Amino acid sequence: MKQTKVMIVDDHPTVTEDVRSILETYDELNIVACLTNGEDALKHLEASLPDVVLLDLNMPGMGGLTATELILKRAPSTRVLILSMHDSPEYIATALNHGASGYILKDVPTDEIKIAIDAASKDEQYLCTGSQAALGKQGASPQSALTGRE
Amino acid sequence: MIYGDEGFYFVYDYDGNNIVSPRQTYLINQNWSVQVDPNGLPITDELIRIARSGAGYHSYMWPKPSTGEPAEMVTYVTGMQNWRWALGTGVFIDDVLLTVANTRTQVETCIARTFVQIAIITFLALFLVFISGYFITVRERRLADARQKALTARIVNTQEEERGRVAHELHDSISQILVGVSYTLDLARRRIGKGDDRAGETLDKGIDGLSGAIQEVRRISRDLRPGMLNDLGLGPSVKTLIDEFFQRTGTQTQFETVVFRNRLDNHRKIALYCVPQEAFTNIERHANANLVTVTLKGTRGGALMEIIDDGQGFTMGGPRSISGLGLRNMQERIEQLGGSLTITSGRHGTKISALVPLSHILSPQSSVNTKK
Repeated sequence: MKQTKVMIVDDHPTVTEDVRSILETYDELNIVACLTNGEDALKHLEASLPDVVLLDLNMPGMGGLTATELILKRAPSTRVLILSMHDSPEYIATALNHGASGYILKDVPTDEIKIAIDAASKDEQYLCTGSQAALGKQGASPQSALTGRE
Repeated sequence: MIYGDEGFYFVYDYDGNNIVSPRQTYLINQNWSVQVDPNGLPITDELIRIARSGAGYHSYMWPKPSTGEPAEMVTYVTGMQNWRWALGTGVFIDDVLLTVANTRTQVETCIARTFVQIAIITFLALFLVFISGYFITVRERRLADARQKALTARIVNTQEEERGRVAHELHDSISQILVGVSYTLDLARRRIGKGDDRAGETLDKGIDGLSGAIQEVRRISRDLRPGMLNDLGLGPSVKTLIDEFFQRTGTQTQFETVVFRNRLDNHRKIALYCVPQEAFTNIERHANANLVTVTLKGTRGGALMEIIDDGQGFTMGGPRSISGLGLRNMQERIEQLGGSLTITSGRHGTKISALVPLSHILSPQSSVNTKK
Protein backbone atom coordinates (compact mmCIF):
# COMPACT_ATOMS: atom_id res chain seq x y z
CA MET A 1 0.00 0.00 0.00
CA LYS A 2 1.27 3.44 -0.87
CA GLN A 3 1.79 5.59 2.21
CA THR A 4 0.87 9.27 2.29
CA LYS A 5 3.91 11.36 3.24
CA VAL A 6 3.02 14.01 5.81
CA MET A 7 5.06 17.00 7.06
CA ILE A 8 4.01 18.73 10.31
CA VAL A 9 4.93 22.39 10.84
CA ASP A 10 4.01 24.09 14.13
CA ASP A 11 6.02 26.32 16.44
CA HIS A 12 4.73 24.52 19.53
CA PRO A 13 6.83 21.37 19.99
CA THR A 14 4.22 19.69 22.21
CA VAL A 15 1.65 20.07 19.45
CA THR A 16 3.90 18.70 16.69
CA GLU A 17 4.96 15.82 18.89
CA ASP A 18 1.40 14.91 19.83
CA VAL A 19 0.11 15.22 16.27
CA ARG A 20 2.97 13.03 15.12
CA SER A 21 2.14 10.39 17.74
CA ILE A 22 -1.52 10.45 16.79
CA LEU A 23 -0.87 10.23 13.05
CA GLU A 24 1.65 7.45 13.58
CA THR A 25 -1.22 5.29 14.80
CA TYR A 26 -2.37 5.16 11.14
CA ASP A 27 -0.34 2.70 9.10
CA GLU A 28 -1.11 4.42 5.83
CA LEU A 29 0.53 7.66 6.96
CA ASN A 30 4.26 8.30 6.95
CA ILE A 31 5.43 11.32 8.96
CA VAL A 32 8.45 12.54 7.05
CA ALA A 33 9.28 15.68 9.05
CA CYS A 34 8.27 17.70 12.13
CA LEU A 35 9.36 21.35 11.89
CA THR A 36 8.75 24.54 13.83
CA ASN A 37 8.65 27.30 11.20
CA GLY A 38 7.98 28.14 7.58
CA GLU A 39 11.64 28.57 6.57
CA ASP A 40 12.57 25.10 7.79
CA ALA A 41 9.55 23.64 6.02
CA LEU A 42 10.75 25.11 2.72
CA LYS A 43 14.30 23.89 3.34
CA HIS A 44 13.14 20.32 3.92
CA LEU A 45 10.54 20.38 1.18
CA GLU A 46 12.60 18.96 -1.65
CA ALA A 47 14.35 16.36 0.51
CA SER A 48 11.18 14.93 2.01
CA LEU A 49 8.71 15.67 -0.81
CA PRO A 50 5.57 15.35 1.34
CA ASP A 51 2.17 14.69 -0.18
CA VAL A 52 0.51 16.76 2.52
CA VAL A 53 1.86 19.53 4.75
CA LEU A 54 0.05 20.24 8.04
CA LEU A 55 0.80 23.91 8.62
CA ASP A 56 0.17 26.23 11.58
CA LEU A 57 -0.75 29.83 10.73
CA ASN A 58 0.99 31.81 13.48
CA MET A 59 4.67 31.07 13.65
CA PRO A 60 7.64 33.25 14.41
CA GLY A 61 9.46 34.19 11.21
CA MET A 62 7.65 33.02 8.12
CA GLY A 63 3.96 32.52 8.88
CA GLY A 64 1.66 29.86 7.51
CA LEU A 65 0.13 31.98 4.74
CA THR A 66 3.43 32.87 3.07
CA ALA A 67 4.67 29.33 3.59
CA THR A 68 1.56 27.95 1.87
CA GLU A 69 2.17 30.02 -1.26
CA LEU A 70 5.88 29.19 -1.41
CA ILE A 71 5.34 25.48 -0.80
CA LEU A 72 2.76 25.29 -3.59
CA LYS A 73 5.07 27.21 -5.92
CA ARG A 74 8.05 24.93 -5.29
CA ALA A 75 6.18 21.64 -5.01
CA PRO A 76 2.95 21.95 -7.01
CA SER A 77 1.95 18.39 -6.28
CA THR A 78 2.06 18.93 -2.52
CA ARG A 79 -1.21 19.81 -0.75
CA VAL A 80 -1.29 22.16 2.22
CA LEU A 81 -3.68 21.77 5.17
CA ILE A 82 -3.90 24.54 7.75
CA LEU A 83 -4.01 23.38 11.38
CA SER A 84 -4.87 26.40 13.48
CA MET A 85 -6.50 27.79 16.63
CA HIS A 86 -8.13 30.63 14.67
CA ASP A 87 -11.78 29.98 13.89
CA SER A 88 -12.67 33.38 12.38
CA PRO A 89 -13.98 33.24 8.77
CA GLU A 90 -11.36 35.78 7.66
CA TYR A 91 -8.52 33.46 8.59
CA ILE A 92 -10.18 30.49 6.94
CA ALA A 93 -11.09 32.34 3.72
CA THR A 94 -7.64 33.92 3.49
CA ALA A 95 -5.93 30.58 4.01
CA LEU A 96 -8.01 29.03 1.22
CA ASN A 97 -7.24 32.06 -0.96
CA HIS A 98 -3.57 31.44 -0.45
CA GLY A 99 -4.02 27.95 -1.86
CA ALA A 100 -4.63 25.76 1.19
CA SER A 101 -6.57 22.59 0.42
CA GLY A 102 -8.23 22.46 3.81
CA TYR A 103 -8.62 23.99 7.19
CA ILE A 104 -8.62 22.09 10.48
CA LEU A 105 -9.23 23.70 13.82
CA LYS A 106 -7.02 22.46 16.60
CA ASP A 107 -9.99 21.86 18.89
CA VAL A 108 -11.86 19.38 16.68
CA PRO A 109 -11.46 15.60 17.22
CA THR A 110 -8.16 14.42 15.73
CA ASP A 111 -10.00 11.96 13.47
CA GLU A 112 -10.72 14.94 11.26
CA ILE A 113 -7.00 15.47 10.68
CA LYS A 114 -6.87 12.02 9.10
CA ILE A 115 -10.01 12.69 7.08
CA ALA A 116 -8.52 15.97 5.83
CA ILE A 117 -5.25 14.30 4.87
CA ASP A 118 -7.14 11.61 2.97
CA ALA A 119 -9.23 14.24 1.18
CA ALA A 120 -6.17 16.34 0.31
CA SER A 121 -4.24 13.40 -1.07
CA LYS A 122 -7.22 12.76 -3.36
CA ASP A 123 -7.03 16.45 -4.37
CA GLU A 124 -10.28 17.24 -2.61
CA GLN A 125 -10.98 20.16 -0.34
CA TYR A 126 -11.78 19.57 3.32
CA LEU A 127 -13.05 22.03 5.89
CA CYS A 128 -13.43 20.70 9.42
CA THR A 129 -16.74 20.94 11.28
CA GLY A 130 -16.20 24.26 13.02
CA SER A 131 -14.58 26.02 10.09
CA GLN A 132 -17.42 25.09 7.73
CA ALA A 133 -19.89 26.61 10.16
CA ALA A 134 -17.74 29.74 10.54
CA LEU A 135 -17.56 30.27 6.79
CA GLY A 136 -21.29 29.58 6.43
CA LYS A 137 -22.12 32.17 9.06
CA GLN A 138 -20.23 34.76 7.10
CA GLY A 139 -22.09 33.81 3.95
CA ALA A 140 -18.94 33.13 1.96
CA SER A 141 -18.94 29.81 0.19
CA PRO A 142 -15.64 27.96 0.35
CA GLN A 143 -15.59 27.83 -3.43
CA SER A 144 -15.55 31.61 -3.75
CA ALA A 145 -12.50 31.67 -1.54
CA LEU A 146 -10.54 29.39 -3.83
CA THR A 147 -7.76 30.66 -6.00
CA GLY A 148 -7.12 30.32 -9.68
CA ARG A 149 -5.15 27.20 -8.89
CA GLU A 150 -8.37 25.25 -8.79
CA MET B 1 -2.50 155.29 38.51
CA ILE B 2 -4.52 152.67 36.64
CA TYR B 3 -4.03 148.96 36.26
CA GLY B 4 -5.73 146.04 34.64
CA ASP B 5 -9.08 146.53 32.91
CA GLU B 6 -10.91 148.28 35.72
CA GLY B 7 -8.37 149.02 38.43
CA PHE B 8 -7.43 152.53 39.56
CA TYR B 9 -6.16 154.51 42.57
CA PHE B 10 -8.14 157.33 44.03
CA VAL B 11 -7.56 160.09 46.57
CA TYR B 12 -10.09 162.11 48.57
CA ASP B 13 -9.20 164.74 51.07
CA TYR B 14 -10.83 164.42 54.45
CA ASP B 15 -13.42 167.00 53.45
CA GLY B 16 -14.78 164.74 50.71
CA ASN B 17 -13.19 166.44 47.70
CA ASN B 18 -11.90 164.11 45.03
CA ILE B 19 -8.30 164.77 44.16
CA VAL B 20 -7.37 161.75 42.04
CA SER B 21 -9.71 159.67 39.86
CA PRO B 22 -7.85 158.53 36.70
CA ARG B 23 -10.68 156.53 35.18
CA GLN B 24 -13.63 158.66 36.16
CA THR B 25 -12.15 162.15 35.80
CA TYR B 26 -15.53 163.86 36.20
CA LEU B 27 -15.23 163.19 39.92
CA ILE B 28 -12.12 165.34 40.30
CA ASN B 29 -12.37 168.65 42.24
CA GLN B 30 -15.89 167.96 43.39
CA ASN B 31 -17.12 167.26 46.84
CA TRP B 32 -18.61 163.74 47.31
CA SER B 33 -18.96 163.77 51.04
CA VAL B 34 -22.59 162.68 51.10
CA GLN B 35 -22.36 160.19 48.21
CA VAL B 36 -24.20 156.92 48.79
CA ASP B 37 -24.38 153.77 46.59
CA PRO B 38 -27.70 152.57 45.06
CA ASN B 39 -28.39 150.59 48.27
CA GLY B 40 -28.05 153.79 50.35
CA LEU B 41 -24.67 152.82 51.75
CA PRO B 42 -22.41 155.88 52.41
CA ILE B 43 -19.28 155.74 50.29
CA THR B 44 -17.02 158.76 50.59
CA ASP B 45 -17.80 159.54 54.22
CA GLU B 46 -17.15 155.95 55.22
CA LEU B 47 -13.86 155.86 53.24
CA ILE B 48 -12.74 159.02 54.98
CA ARG B 49 -13.77 157.67 58.38
CA ILE B 50 -11.70 154.54 57.77
CA ALA B 51 -8.77 156.62 56.50
CA ARG B 52 -8.89 158.85 59.58
CA SER B 53 -8.73 155.83 61.83
CA GLY B 54 -5.74 154.39 59.86
CA ALA B 55 -6.69 151.96 57.11
CA GLY B 56 -9.31 149.39 56.24
CA TYR B 57 -11.73 147.81 53.81
CA HIS B 58 -15.07 149.05 52.60
CA SER B 59 -17.47 147.33 50.29
CA TYR B 60 -20.14 149.13 48.22
CA MET B 61 -21.73 149.41 44.77
CA TRP B 62 -19.72 151.48 42.28
CA PRO B 63 -20.16 152.13 38.54
CA LYS B 64 -17.62 150.12 36.55
CA PRO B 65 -15.33 152.45 34.57
CA SER B 66 -15.68 150.30 31.42
CA THR B 67 -19.49 150.08 31.36
CA GLY B 68 -20.85 152.58 33.89
CA GLU B 69 -22.97 149.74 35.42
CA PRO B 70 -22.84 149.59 39.23
CA ALA B 71 -21.07 146.54 40.59
CA GLU B 72 -19.93 145.52 44.03
CA MET B 73 -16.49 146.78 44.80
CA VAL B 74 -14.13 146.06 47.69
CA THR B 75 -11.87 148.96 48.45
CA TYR B 76 -8.80 149.21 50.60
CA VAL B 77 -8.25 152.73 51.88
CA THR B 78 -5.41 154.19 53.91
CA GLY B 79 -5.14 157.55 55.57
CA MET B 80 -2.25 159.93 54.92
CA GLN B 81 -2.78 161.95 58.09
CA ASN B 82 -0.23 164.72 57.38
CA TRP B 83 -1.95 165.57 54.15
CA ARG B 84 -5.46 164.63 55.35
CA TRP B 85 -5.84 162.37 52.32
CA ALA B 86 -7.66 159.13 51.94
CA LEU B 87 -5.73 157.04 49.35
CA GLY B 88 -7.31 153.82 48.12
CA THR B 89 -7.91 151.32 45.42
CA GLY B 90 -10.49 148.65 44.89
CA VAL B 91 -11.42 145.64 42.92
CA PHE B 92 -14.83 144.66 41.58
CA ILE B 93 -16.04 141.44 43.15
CA ASP B 94 -17.42 140.18 39.83
CA ASP B 95 -13.93 140.56 38.30
CA VAL B 96 -12.51 138.51 41.12
CA LEU B 97 -15.31 136.01 40.76
CA LEU B 98 -14.74 135.94 37.02
CA THR B 99 -11.02 135.39 37.51
CA VAL B 100 -11.70 132.73 40.08
CA ALA B 101 -14.29 131.18 37.78
CA ASN B 102 -11.82 131.30 34.88
CA THR B 103 -9.13 129.74 37.00
CA ARG B 104 -11.57 127.18 38.27
CA THR B 105 -12.67 126.41 34.72
CA GLN B 106 -9.04 126.05 33.68
CA VAL B 107 -8.30 123.82 36.65
CA GLU B 108 -11.43 121.84 35.99
CA THR B 109 -10.51 121.51 32.33
CA CYS B 110 -7.08 120.36 33.38
CA ILE B 111 -8.57 117.92 35.85
CA ALA B 112 -11.03 116.67 33.25
CA ARG B 113 -8.23 116.27 30.73
CA THR B 114 -6.05 114.49 33.26
CA PHE B 115 -8.99 112.33 34.23
CA VAL B 116 -9.63 111.43 30.61
CA GLN B 117 -5.93 110.65 30.15
CA ILE B 118 -5.89 108.52 33.27
CA ALA B 119 -9.08 106.83 32.14
CA ILE B 120 -7.61 106.09 28.72
CA ILE B 121 -4.39 104.79 30.23
CA THR B 122 -6.32 102.71 32.74
CA PHE B 123 -8.54 101.36 30.01
CA LEU B 124 -5.56 100.53 27.81
CA ALA B 125 -3.80 98.89 30.71
CA LEU B 126 -6.88 96.88 31.59
CA PHE B 127 -7.34 95.98 27.95
CA LEU B 128 -3.73 94.85 27.73
CA VAL B 129 -4.08 92.82 30.91
CA PHE B 130 -7.30 91.31 29.62
CA ILE B 131 -5.87 90.52 26.19
CA SER B 132 -2.70 89.01 27.57
CA GLY B 133 -4.70 87.13 30.18
CA TYR B 134 -7.00 85.89 27.45
CA PHE B 135 -4.13 84.72 25.28
CA ILE B 136 -2.37 83.11 28.20
CA THR B 137 -5.58 81.31 29.12
CA VAL B 138 -6.16 80.21 25.56
CA ARG B 139 -2.59 78.98 25.30
CA GLU B 140 -2.78 77.22 28.64
CA ARG B 141 -6.04 75.68 27.59
CA ARG B 142 -4.52 74.49 24.35
CA LEU B 143 -1.52 73.06 26.15
CA ALA B 144 -3.78 71.38 28.67
CA ASP B 145 -5.94 70.03 25.84
CA ALA B 146 -2.88 68.74 24.04
CA ARG B 147 -1.63 67.11 27.21
CA GLN B 148 -5.04 65.62 27.83
CA LYS B 149 -5.15 64.28 24.30
CA ALA B 150 -1.66 62.84 24.57
CA LEU B 151 -2.60 61.22 27.86
CA THR B 152 -5.79 59.78 26.43
CA ALA B 153 -3.92 58.48 23.40
CA ARG B 154 -1.34 56.90 25.65
CA ILE B 155 -4.00 55.36 27.85
CA VAL B 156 -5.73 53.96 24.79
CA ASN B 157 -2.41 52.70 23.43
CA THR B 158 -1.50 51.12 26.71
CA GLN B 159 -4.89 49.52 26.93
CA GLU B 160 -4.56 48.22 23.38
CA GLU B 161 -1.08 46.90 24.09
CA GLU B 162 -2.34 45.28 27.24
CA ARG B 163 -5.29 43.67 25.49
CA GLY B 164 -3.00 42.51 22.72
CA ARG B 165 -0.64 41.06 25.27
CA VAL B 166 -3.43 39.26 27.09
CA ALA B 167 -4.90 37.96 23.82
CA HIS B 168 -1.47 36.76 22.81
CA GLU B 169 -0.90 35.11 26.19
CA LEU B 170 -4.27 33.37 25.98
CA HIS B 171 -3.82 32.24 22.40
CA ASP B 172 -0.18 31.43 22.51
CA SER B 173 0.24 29.98 25.90
CA ILE B 174 -3.02 28.70 27.32
CA SER B 175 -4.73 27.41 24.22
CA GLN B 176 -1.59 25.76 22.86
CA ILE B 177 -1.11 23.94 26.12
CA LEU B 178 -4.76 22.90 26.08
CA VAL B 179 -4.51 21.76 22.44
CA GLY B 180 -1.50 19.76 23.49
CA VAL B 181 -3.48 18.19 26.33
CA SER B 182 -6.37 17.45 24.00
CA TYR B 183 -4.03 15.73 21.52
CA THR B 184 -2.32 13.85 24.30
CA LEU B 185 -5.63 12.56 25.66
CA ASP B 186 -6.66 11.67 22.11
CA LEU B 187 -3.49 9.68 21.75
CA ALA B 188 -4.09 8.02 25.11
CA ARG B 189 -7.56 7.00 23.95
CA ARG B 190 -6.11 5.48 20.80
CA ARG B 191 -3.43 3.64 22.77
CA ILE B 192 -5.99 2.33 25.27
CA GLY B 193 -8.11 1.17 22.32
CA LYS B 194 -5.14 -0.70 20.88
CA GLY B 195 -4.09 -2.05 24.26
CA ASP B 196 -0.80 -0.15 23.95
CA ASP B 197 0.85 -0.12 27.40
CA ARG B 198 2.16 3.41 26.82
CA ALA B 199 -1.41 4.66 27.37
CA GLY B 200 -0.91 5.35 31.11
CA GLU B 201 2.26 7.29 30.41
CA THR B 202 0.39 9.34 27.83
CA LEU B 203 -2.38 10.08 30.31
CA ASP B 204 0.21 11.27 32.84
CA LYS B 205 1.56 13.59 30.20
CA GLY B 206 -1.93 14.97 29.65
CA ILE B 207 -2.36 15.59 33.38
CA ASP B 208 1.02 17.36 33.48
CA GLY B 209 -0.14 19.49 30.58
CA LEU B 210 -3.32 20.43 32.45
CA SER B 211 -1.44 21.47 35.58
CA GLY B 212 0.86 23.50 33.32
CA ALA B 213 -2.24 25.21 31.93
CA ILE B 214 -3.51 25.92 35.44
CA GLN B 215 -0.16 27.47 36.34
CA GLU B 216 -0.25 29.62 33.23
CA VAL B 217 -3.75 30.85 34.01
CA ARG B 218 -2.59 31.66 37.52
CA ARG B 219 0.42 33.55 36.19
CA ILE B 220 -1.54 35.55 33.62
CA SER B 221 -4.26 36.37 36.10
CA ARG B 222 -1.72 37.50 38.68
CA ASP B 223 0.04 39.65 36.11
CA LEU B 224 -3.27 41.25 35.21
CA ARG B 225 -4.55 41.99 38.69
CA PRO B 226 -3.02 40.45 41.75
CA GLY B 227 -5.92 39.02 43.75
CA MET B 228 -3.53 38.70 46.66
CA LEU B 229 -3.56 42.49 46.90
CA ASN B 230 -7.24 42.32 47.82
CA ASP B 231 -6.94 39.26 50.02
CA LEU B 232 -3.77 39.94 51.97
CA GLY B 233 -2.90 43.59 51.34
CA LEU B 234 0.03 45.46 49.91
CA GLY B 235 2.86 44.19 52.14
CA PRO B 236 2.43 40.43 51.52
CA SER B 237 1.78 41.05 47.80
CA VAL B 238 4.99 43.01 47.42
CA LYS B 239 6.75 40.34 49.46
CA THR B 240 5.55 37.73 46.96
CA LEU B 241 6.75 39.88 44.07
CA ILE B 242 10.14 40.14 45.74
CA ASP B 243 10.34 36.41 46.44
CA GLU B 244 9.48 35.62 42.83
CA PHE B 245 12.02 38.15 41.63
CA PHE B 246 14.65 36.49 43.85
CA GLN B 247 13.76 33.02 42.59
CA ARG B 248 13.83 34.20 39.00
CA THR B 249 17.01 36.21 39.04
CA GLY B 250 18.95 35.18 42.14
CA THR B 251 19.45 38.86 42.90
CA GLN B 252 19.68 39.52 46.62
CA THR B 253 16.71 41.40 48.02
CA GLN B 254 15.85 43.23 51.21
CA PHE B 255 12.34 44.17 52.19
CA GLU B 256 11.09 46.35 54.98
CA THR B 257 7.43 47.12 55.44
CA VAL B 258 4.81 48.46 57.77
CA VAL B 259 1.15 47.47 57.93
CA PHE B 260 -1.26 50.00 56.49
CA ARG B 261 -4.52 49.06 58.16
CA ASN B 262 -7.26 50.12 55.78
CA ARG B 263 -5.45 53.35 55.19
CA LEU B 264 -4.81 52.72 51.51
CA ASP B 265 -7.75 52.29 49.20
CA ASN B 266 -7.61 49.87 46.26
CA HIS B 267 -6.42 52.43 43.70
CA ARG B 268 -3.54 53.43 45.94
CA LYS B 269 -2.61 49.82 46.66
CA ILE B 270 -2.55 48.92 42.98
CA ALA B 271 -0.62 52.05 42.08
CA LEU B 272 2.00 51.28 44.72
CA TYR B 273 2.09 47.60 43.77
CA CYS B 274 2.82 48.49 40.16
CA VAL B 275 5.94 50.40 41.16
CA PRO B 276 8.04 47.42 42.28
CA GLN B 277 6.44 45.30 39.54
CA GLU B 278 7.66 47.72 36.87
CA ALA B 279 10.93 48.34 38.68
CA PHE B 280 11.74 44.62 38.90
CA THR B 281 11.09 44.16 35.20
CA ASN B 282 13.50 46.99 34.46
CA ILE B 283 16.11 45.79 36.96
CA GLU B 284 15.93 42.26 35.60
CA ARG B 285 16.30 43.42 32.01
CA HIS B 286 18.79 46.24 32.30
CA ALA B 287 20.30 46.97 35.69
CA ASN B 288 22.53 43.96 36.30
CA ALA B 289 22.16 44.57 40.04
CA ASN B 290 23.49 42.56 43.00
CA LEU B 291 21.19 43.90 45.67
CA VAL B 292 17.70 45.35 45.52
CA THR B 293 16.23 47.00 48.60
CA VAL B 294 12.51 47.62 48.82
CA THR B 295 11.11 49.78 51.60
CA LEU B 296 7.44 50.42 52.26
CA LYS B 297 6.81 52.84 55.08
CA GLY B 298 4.46 55.51 56.36
CA THR B 299 5.69 59.08 56.29
CA ARG B 300 4.09 62.42 56.98
CA GLY B 301 3.31 62.69 53.23
CA GLY B 302 1.71 59.24 53.03
CA ALA B 303 2.82 55.75 52.07
CA LEU B 304 6.35 55.71 50.67
CA MET B 305 7.56 52.89 48.44
CA GLU B 306 11.28 52.94 47.67
CA ILE B 307 13.16 50.58 45.39
CA ILE B 308 16.91 50.95 45.40
CA ASP B 309 19.24 48.84 43.28
CA ASP B 310 23.01 48.90 42.93
CA GLY B 311 22.94 48.25 39.18
CA GLN B 312 24.36 50.25 36.33
CA GLY B 313 21.60 52.89 36.24
CA PHE B 314 20.15 54.53 33.18
CA THR B 315 19.44 57.90 31.66
CA MET B 316 15.89 59.03 30.98
CA GLY B 317 15.41 59.12 27.24
CA GLY B 318 18.94 57.88 26.65
CA PRO B 319 19.92 54.93 24.50
CA ARG B 320 19.68 52.63 27.49
CA SER B 321 16.45 54.25 28.62
CA ILE B 322 14.48 51.57 30.35
CA SER B 323 10.87 50.99 29.42
CA GLY B 324 10.07 54.70 29.47
CA LEU B 325 6.40 54.15 28.81
CA GLY B 326 6.00 51.96 31.86
CA LEU B 327 7.68 54.52 34.07
CA ARG B 328 5.62 57.36 32.66
CA ASN B 329 2.37 55.47 33.11
CA MET B 330 3.38 54.63 36.65
CA GLN B 331 4.16 58.30 37.28
CA GLU B 332 0.87 59.53 35.88
CA ARG B 333 -1.07 56.96 37.83
CA ILE B 334 0.52 58.06 41.09
CA GLU B 335 0.20 61.76 40.33
CA GLN B 336 -3.51 61.25 39.67
CA LEU B 337 -3.79 60.01 43.23
CA GLY B 338 -2.10 63.17 44.50
CA GLY B 339 1.22 61.43 45.02
CA SER B 340 4.63 61.75 43.42
CA LEU B 341 7.16 59.49 41.79
CA THR B 342 10.83 60.39 41.64
CA ILE B 343 13.56 58.48 39.91
CA THR B 344 17.23 59.13 40.45
CA SER B 345 19.72 57.07 38.54
CA GLY B 346 23.48 57.12 38.40
CA ARG B 347 26.33 54.81 37.50
CA HIS B 348 26.05 53.07 40.85
CA GLY B 349 22.35 52.39 40.92
CA THR B 350 18.83 53.60 40.65
CA LYS B 351 16.38 54.76 43.27
CA ILE B 352 12.66 54.94 42.62
CA SER B 353 10.50 56.61 45.27
CA ALA B 354 6.74 56.64 45.09
CA LEU B 355 4.74 58.60 47.61
CA VAL B 356 0.97 58.23 47.86
CA PRO B 357 -1.11 60.11 50.45
CA LEU B 358 -3.04 58.01 52.98
CA SER B 359 -6.71 58.39 53.75
CA HIS B 360 -5.97 58.91 57.44
CA ILE B 361 -2.86 58.60 59.58
CA LEU B 362 -2.32 56.01 62.31
CA SER B 363 0.93 55.02 63.93
CA PRO B 364 2.53 52.44 61.65
CA GLN B 365 3.42 48.99 62.94
CA SER B 366 6.81 48.00 61.74
CA SER B 367 8.01 44.61 60.70
CA VAL B 368 11.20 43.67 58.94
CA ASN B 369 11.73 40.91 56.41
CA THR B 370 15.14 40.24 55.06
CA LYS B 371 16.11 37.70 52.48
CA LYS B 372 19.76 36.89 51.95
